[in-house]
Amino acid sequence: MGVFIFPVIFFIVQFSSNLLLLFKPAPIFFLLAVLCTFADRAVGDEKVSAKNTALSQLIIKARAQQIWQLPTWQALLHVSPSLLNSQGLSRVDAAAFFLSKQGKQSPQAELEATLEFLLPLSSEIDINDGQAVACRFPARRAWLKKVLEIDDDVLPEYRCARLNHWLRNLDADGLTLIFPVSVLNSPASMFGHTFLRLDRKAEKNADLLAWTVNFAAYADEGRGLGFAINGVFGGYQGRFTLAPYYERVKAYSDIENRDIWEYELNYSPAEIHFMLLHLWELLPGYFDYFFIDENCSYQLLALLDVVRPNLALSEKFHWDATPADTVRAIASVPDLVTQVHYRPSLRQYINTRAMDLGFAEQKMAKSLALGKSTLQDSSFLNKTSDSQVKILELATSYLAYLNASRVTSQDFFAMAGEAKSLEMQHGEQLNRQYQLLTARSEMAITLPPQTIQQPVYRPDEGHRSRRVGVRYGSEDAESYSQFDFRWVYHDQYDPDNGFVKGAQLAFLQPSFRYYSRESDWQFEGIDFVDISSAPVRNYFIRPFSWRALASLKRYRFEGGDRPLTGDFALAAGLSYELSQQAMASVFIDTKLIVGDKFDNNIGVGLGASTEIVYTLTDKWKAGLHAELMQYVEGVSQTSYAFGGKLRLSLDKGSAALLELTENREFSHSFSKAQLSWQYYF
Amino acid sequence: MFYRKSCSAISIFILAFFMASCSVTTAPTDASSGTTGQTTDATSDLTSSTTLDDDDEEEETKEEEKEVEEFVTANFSQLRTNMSVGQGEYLSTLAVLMSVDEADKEKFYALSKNNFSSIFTSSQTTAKEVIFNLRQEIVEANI
Repeated sequence: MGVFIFPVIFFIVQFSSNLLLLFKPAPIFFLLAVLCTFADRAVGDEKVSAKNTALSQLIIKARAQQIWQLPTWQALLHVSPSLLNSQGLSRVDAAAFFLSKQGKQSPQAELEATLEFLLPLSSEIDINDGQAVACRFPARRAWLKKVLEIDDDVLPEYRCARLNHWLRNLDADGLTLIFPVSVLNSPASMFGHTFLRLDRKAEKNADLLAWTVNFAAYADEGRGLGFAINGVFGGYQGRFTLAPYYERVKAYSDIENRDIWEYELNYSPAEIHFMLLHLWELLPGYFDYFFIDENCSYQLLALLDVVRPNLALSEKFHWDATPADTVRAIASVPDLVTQVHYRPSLRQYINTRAMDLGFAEQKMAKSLALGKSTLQDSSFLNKTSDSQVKILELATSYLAYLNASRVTSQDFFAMAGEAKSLEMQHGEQLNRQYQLLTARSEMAITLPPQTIQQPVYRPDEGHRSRRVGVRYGSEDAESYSQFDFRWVYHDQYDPDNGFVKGAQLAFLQPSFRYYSRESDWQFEGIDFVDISSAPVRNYFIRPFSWRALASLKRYRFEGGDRPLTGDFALAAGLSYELSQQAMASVFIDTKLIVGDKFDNNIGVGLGASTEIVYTLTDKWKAGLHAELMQYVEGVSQTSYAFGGKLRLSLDKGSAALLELTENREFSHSFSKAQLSWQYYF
Repeated sequence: MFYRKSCSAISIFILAFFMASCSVTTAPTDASSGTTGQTTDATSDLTSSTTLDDDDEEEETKEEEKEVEEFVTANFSQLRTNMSVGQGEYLSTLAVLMSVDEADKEKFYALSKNNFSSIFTSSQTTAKEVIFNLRQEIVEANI
C-alpha cells in the first residue's frame, strides 16, 4: 500500500517545500529523523538511516563549533565586510553558486545545505557523477571533510572526470602575480591590471605556456566612456577566465606596449591545488563588476585569501583598490614574494636596440623597414657585418612594432598623403619583414640576447595612491593656508619611482582655503579628472601626448573677485626626452569655462603651453612651465602663467613642494608662491 | 503503532524534501549554463578534448600537435623573429612544446636559423606550413 501513498505524499511535499524552505525547517526534520532512526531501526532502508545519522551528527558538530565563522569558509563564500556591505553578504552574484536559498546572506545555511548535498540520502552514490555537488564544489568538500573529520565511507572520493582533466591540464605547482603597468589610452587600463599565472615549477615549464587566471568584466566595448560608466556602476558581470600566458603577453606587451612585472609568490603546491579547486567553483559564477571596488585586483586577493585567510589580503581594501595597491599589499607581506621578474615591452626592446647604434645606423634601419632603401644599397653593404646584424634586428623589431600597433607608417600625416591603400602597405610591410628576417638568418653572427635594464624601482615601491596636503601660500599679496586631498593616483611632480613616466592620473582632488586675515574658510575648488598622457617620442616610437581636465576652480578677475568657475580643458601635444633626466612637452590647448563673468556664461579659449621636467636625483625634481591662453568667445582677453616647481621627497611617504608662478588671469596680473607638504597614504 | 507510522511518514517526508530542495537548486544551475557563455568557452580549451585516458598515446600526440599549432599561430611574428636569430624565449618554448630533447636543443635552435628560408618559404607561409616544414627539417637533421 505504501507504494501508492508515496507518490501522493511526494507530490504534496514537493508542492509545499518551497514555502517550507523559507522557514528553514531542515533542522527540525533532522532531529526528528535522528529520533526516528533510534526509535525504530526496522523502518526504512538501513543505509538511508545510517546516512541520516551521519549527516545530523555532522550538522550538530558544525553548529557546536560554529565552523561557518571560520575564515576559510567565509573566504570560500566570498563574504567580506565593506562600506556598502556591512552585514556580511557574499560578493558572488550568481544564484548557481549557492546551494541554499539563503546562501548569499547566511554562511551557516550554505554550509548546512552543502553538507546535505554532499551526503545524499539515496542509498547509492554514483561516484562517477561529474555533476554531483562533490564535483561542483570540490574546495568546500575538501575543507568540510578536513574540518569535520568526515570518514571516507561517509563521504567517498568521487571520480570527477571533468574536474580532474581540468586540473591535470593546469598542472600547477607555482603561482605568480602578474602586473602589466598602466596605459592611459584606455579607461579600462589606466591603473594597470593584475592577474595570476599558474606555473609548473617542478617541470621547469616555459612561462609562456603557463595558464593565467584573469578576472575581468564582460564588456562588448572594451574602451570608451560607455565602459567607464558601466564599469563604475556595476553594469557588467565579472568572471574568472583562463588563457595561456602567451596570449596575455601578446596583448599587453606586444600590442599595447606595456611592461609586465611578474611577482613569484610563495604558495605551496597543496595551497595552489586548493585554490584551483575553489576557482573551479567560481568559473560558472559571476560577480557584478565594479570598476572601483570589486575589480580585478580585489577579486584576485579574495581568491588568494581562500588559501591563507589569515593574511586577509582582500580585507585591507574596504572599498577601493588599484592594481598597484594590491601589488603593494602582497609585496608587504613578509616572504610572500620570492622573486620579481621584469618583462619589458616591445617598445623597450626597440629603444634599447636603437641606443646601441649611432644615428646614421638608426636611420638606415628605419629606411630599410619602411622600404626607402634596400639591402643592396652600398651604404648598407659597406657596414661591418656586426653593424649589419644590429641594423637588421632593429629594422625587423620596428616592423613588428608597426604591425602589432597597426600603424602602417611612422607619420600619420605622410600616410594621409599617400595614394596606396592601407592593405597594400600592410602587404608590402610583410614582404619587407620577411626579406629582412631571411637576410638576418643568413648572417652567421649571433649577438648575445638583448638585456634591458630593469627599472630601479618596482611598482610596489612607488608612493601610495591617496594624498593629503597642507600648503601655505601667498596669492596677489594675500596669504592663506590650504588643505588638499587627492583620491588617486599620481601626478607629474609626485616621485615617479615605480610609476610610468609621463603619465599623470588624478581623480577627485578637492581643496579648501583658510584666509587668516578674514578668518574665513573657502572652498577653493575640485579637480574631478586631471589626466595627462605624455609618452616620449623618439626616432622610432612616435606617440602623441594628450591632456584632459574637468574641474571647478577660482579664477581671479578684475578687482580680485574669485567666483567658482567650471573649467574644462583638452590638449594635444608632443613630448620628448631631452636627456636621461629631462623631459619636455609642448601642447596646443583648448579651454571651455562656465561662469557668469562671460557673455552667455561661457568662455572659450585657445592656447599653447610647454613644460620641462627635470629629475635631478631620486629625491629632487624640478620643472618650468609656461602657458598662454587667448579667449575668443565670451570674453576677449589673454591669460598667461609661467613659473617653476621644485619637489623634494622627504621619505617614501611624504614630499615637500615649492611653487612660484607669475600669472595674468583675464585682466588681472598677480604672482603666487606656495609651499606644500604632501603625504601619501 | 502510531509512533512507527508517524516515523515512517516523517522519513518519507524528509526524503522527499531532499529531492525537492534538489530541484530548487538545480534549476538555477541549468539556467546559468545559458549565461556562462564565454566562461565555458574559456574553460573548454581545458576541458573540450576529453581524453581521460592518459595511456592513449595517439590522443596525446594529437593534443600536442594541437598545442603546437595554437602556439605557432598565436606567436607567429615573435617566433619567426626568434628563429631568424636562432635564439629567444619563443623558440625555446616551441622546443618544449615539440618535446625536443635537452641535448638536441642547441641543434634545434641552429637549424631554425640556418634553414630559415626553407621553413618560411615566403611572407605568406602559414603556421601549419611552418610546422610541417620544421618537422621535416627535424627529421632530416636526426633530432
